[in-house]
Amino acid sequence: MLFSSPVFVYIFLPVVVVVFFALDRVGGHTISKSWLLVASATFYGWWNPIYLSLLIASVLVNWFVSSAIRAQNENGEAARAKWLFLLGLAFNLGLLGFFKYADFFISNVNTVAGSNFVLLHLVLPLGISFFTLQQVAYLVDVYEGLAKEHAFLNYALFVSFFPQLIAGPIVHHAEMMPQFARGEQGRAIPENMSRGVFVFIVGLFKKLVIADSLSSIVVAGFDQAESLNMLAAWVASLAFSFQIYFDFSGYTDMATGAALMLNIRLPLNFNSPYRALTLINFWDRWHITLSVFINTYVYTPILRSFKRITLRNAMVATLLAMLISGLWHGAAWTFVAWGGLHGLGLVVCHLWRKQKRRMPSILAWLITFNFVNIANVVFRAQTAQDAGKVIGGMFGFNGVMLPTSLADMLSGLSRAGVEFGTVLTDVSAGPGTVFALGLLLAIIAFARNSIELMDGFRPRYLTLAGAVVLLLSSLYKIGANSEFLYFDF
Amino acid sequence: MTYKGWLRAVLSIFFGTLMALILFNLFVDPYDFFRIGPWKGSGLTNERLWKIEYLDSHRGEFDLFYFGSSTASQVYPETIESLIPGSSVYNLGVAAGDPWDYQRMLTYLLENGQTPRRVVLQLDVTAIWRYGENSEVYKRFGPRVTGSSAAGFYGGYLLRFHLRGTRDKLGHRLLGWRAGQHESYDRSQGIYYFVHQEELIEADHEAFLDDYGVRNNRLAREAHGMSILEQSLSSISSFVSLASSRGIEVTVILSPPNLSLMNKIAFEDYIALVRGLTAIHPFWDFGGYNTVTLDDHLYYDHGHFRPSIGQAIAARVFGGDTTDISKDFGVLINQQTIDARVERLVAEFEWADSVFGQGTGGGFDPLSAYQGSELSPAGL
Amino acid sequence: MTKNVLESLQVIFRDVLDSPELMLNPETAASDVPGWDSLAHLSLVDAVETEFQVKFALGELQKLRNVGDMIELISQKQS
Repeated sequence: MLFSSPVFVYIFLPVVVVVFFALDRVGGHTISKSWLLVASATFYGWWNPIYLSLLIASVLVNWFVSSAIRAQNENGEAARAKWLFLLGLAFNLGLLGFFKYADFFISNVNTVAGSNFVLLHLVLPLGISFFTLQQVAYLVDVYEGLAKEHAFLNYALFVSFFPQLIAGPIVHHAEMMPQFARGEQGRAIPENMSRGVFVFIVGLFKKLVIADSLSSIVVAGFDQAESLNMLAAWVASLAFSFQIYFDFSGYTDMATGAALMLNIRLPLNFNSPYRALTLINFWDRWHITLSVFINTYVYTPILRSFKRITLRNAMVATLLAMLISGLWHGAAWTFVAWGGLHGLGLVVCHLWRKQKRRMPSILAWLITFNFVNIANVVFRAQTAQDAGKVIGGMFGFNGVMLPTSLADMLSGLSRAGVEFGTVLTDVSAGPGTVFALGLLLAIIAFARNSIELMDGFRPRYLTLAGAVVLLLSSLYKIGANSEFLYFDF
Repeated sequence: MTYKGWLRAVLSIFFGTLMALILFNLFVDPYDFFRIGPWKGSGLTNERLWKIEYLDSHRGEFDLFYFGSSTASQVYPETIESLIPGSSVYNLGVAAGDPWDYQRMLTYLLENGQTPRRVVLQLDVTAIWRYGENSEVYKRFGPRVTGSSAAGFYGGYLLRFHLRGTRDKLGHRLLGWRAGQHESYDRSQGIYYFVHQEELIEADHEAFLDDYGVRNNRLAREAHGMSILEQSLSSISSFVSLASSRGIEVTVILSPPNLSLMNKIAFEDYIALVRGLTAIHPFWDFGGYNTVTLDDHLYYDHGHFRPSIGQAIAARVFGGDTTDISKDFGVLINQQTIDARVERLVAEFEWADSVFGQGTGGGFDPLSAYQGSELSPAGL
Repeated sequence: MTKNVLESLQVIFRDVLDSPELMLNPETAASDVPGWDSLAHLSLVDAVETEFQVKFALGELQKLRNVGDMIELISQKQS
């Protein structure tokens, strides 16, 4: 089920919220939490019921293994605990590897060895990348004696709670399980409810009205055009950078809102990332929960596995962690390349920082934003050729063209190889698109982001009018089919 | 304002809008899903929905189903019934239909108590580049065929804003706009009439050809590659083998596109289509450049031909009187005749490229040019 | 005890961060100290682990971003 689908907005969410509070009043916390678990299973199975059993199996195995590790730890059987831990880790990585990376592996083997193994064509189970990471973190922390909470119901809800189940934020047991363990969330709180509704509406608008409207430009520019002139290539790349931001952060807003209606706070996942002045800072603002996970459970163990912590080793660890992060985003070399680019960018950023030299903010922003934007091209392109087409176009390799309306004024430029014509036909866009992209850039650069809006929310006529306008324009768009970009991950 | 008050206002507007939308869509019924309001039976309708509903309530009454897209709508069941005495024909043409639709419809009908003795499959050349589920709500299958939930299908219909359908229906009912052709549906046969177009043709045929863009011989061939055509052929093949496995006689027809459409087709695509069809089943090729496809007077637009052509097709295929039908219109193609047919098509495309390649002046008549060429069948 | 830990931490921090004037107190957080970034953090943790003969779990490292929490966790592990 998609957050932006009619069945979720019109039926599922209202019913789940109302029944949750009614059940809590009548039957108590265990009953109401069980209801959330049933609702989450329904939500997950709606898409592909077969994979619901996979989710259930993953939750059960992880819970039993972690309980066993806890027991061995308490008995002082460190060796047994270690074996169980490794077993659990292998189970999670094996599951993810099989469903997400089997075909990638096979096709690479076929390419290298010239063999002809048949691809499995498995359908990627929804959200498997997300619920696997969350459970790996839990397993590690249980093994290291950190995870205190272990009631089954709270654990199962921490993994499968529908707002964050299929596209994050990647939640940590230490911030979720205590919330489920506490009893007071069983009462509807008007403040939480209205904040939740508000930020949900903002997210719905970002997804349906902004991100989805950009997708035709992106598809035309990346997937359909033979070649792109310079302006068209910039429009295509910027359109995608804005699309993925509004899509993914809009999704997170909806998740945050839906959870808050149920009095659960989800962690911050986006904090105006395109305003970052350094690449290091970008990763503190973009998909924050993933950055924290990678930092804690990938980068740190790699660095600690070196004998000494030196700048060089730290840079190697950074690069490795970003390559792994790239592969986590998708089973294709373009994603690995994207992770590698960001890894290199981070290394350069760290080395620059060691120089302790200052750079004007506007220059720092321009470098950071354009780096991210170009890396996004590699992220979006389905093939290396497509990436080359867009990036080559951005640097003017496929010619520079200006609108015919400027031909008289700037005719001298034609001697420099500038053509005049209909510039944006290859991205099925026009002058209005350029204006819209400029507006979005201004919003990204200057407007308060949705979480700041939510935190500053007060029940006023202004917020009421804003919410109604955003809601009605989203309802108008809701009929058109759309999927979240991050569902494939 | 309190949090409660704010919440109450937003939720009232939300649920109020939904209720209003549902009532409005029930009453206006933009695509005639329910046909219960005072305005039933106008505007655009969903043929995939109601033709199946109609047949489900008339099981076993028809022994010949005529599958096709909207271009099939002008081959009337009564014409075929007069040529095959004792038969009972239903026209299953659906808007923007493609082989995916036909395969799905045949499968459903055979699984649900229909017992045709013969099925006709009238294909369009657009099978080269169009395949798969239509996203527009009035071109979708109903829940019976897809096996999805009726609540989801009708609920989705009620909760959407249908700009185009609402505009057309309200315009027709309240402002006196002309109705779409779907106004003139004959549900018991599954056909409709181009009433408005025929009126215009009656008044001034030449003006109609200009105003409706029928007269357009610009050469704009575009190759589409094999990927979609392969899917189309695979569905056609499944269609044919499903019918054959039930002992049902199959007739395949490639419908005649108007010159303006023929000039958009790449030669290699068309050859791949006719060769692909031959490999599946013998078929009647009405396409190419011939006395009919070059005569704009026989068309409503680039794909829809007038009833006289429907009668000619029926006569050719079902053994009627063909003395008045040009010899180059409708050839039965099979493994033995395909090579000769391809040779002929090479000549036709070369002729068209040479005639239309440079662009023609106003008043140019493609049909006379054709009849003056060596392609023209003798005895015309 | 706490005082001793704080003094030892100050020595470690001055050494690792290469800033001999650095003054720590329990309220000092990573954002207050120039150079206490994600990179230096792990070097600090490494030095602290060696000095106090303790081992931090992966899940604890993110929480050690201020001196007070660090002192508390060290004391907890030593007891």
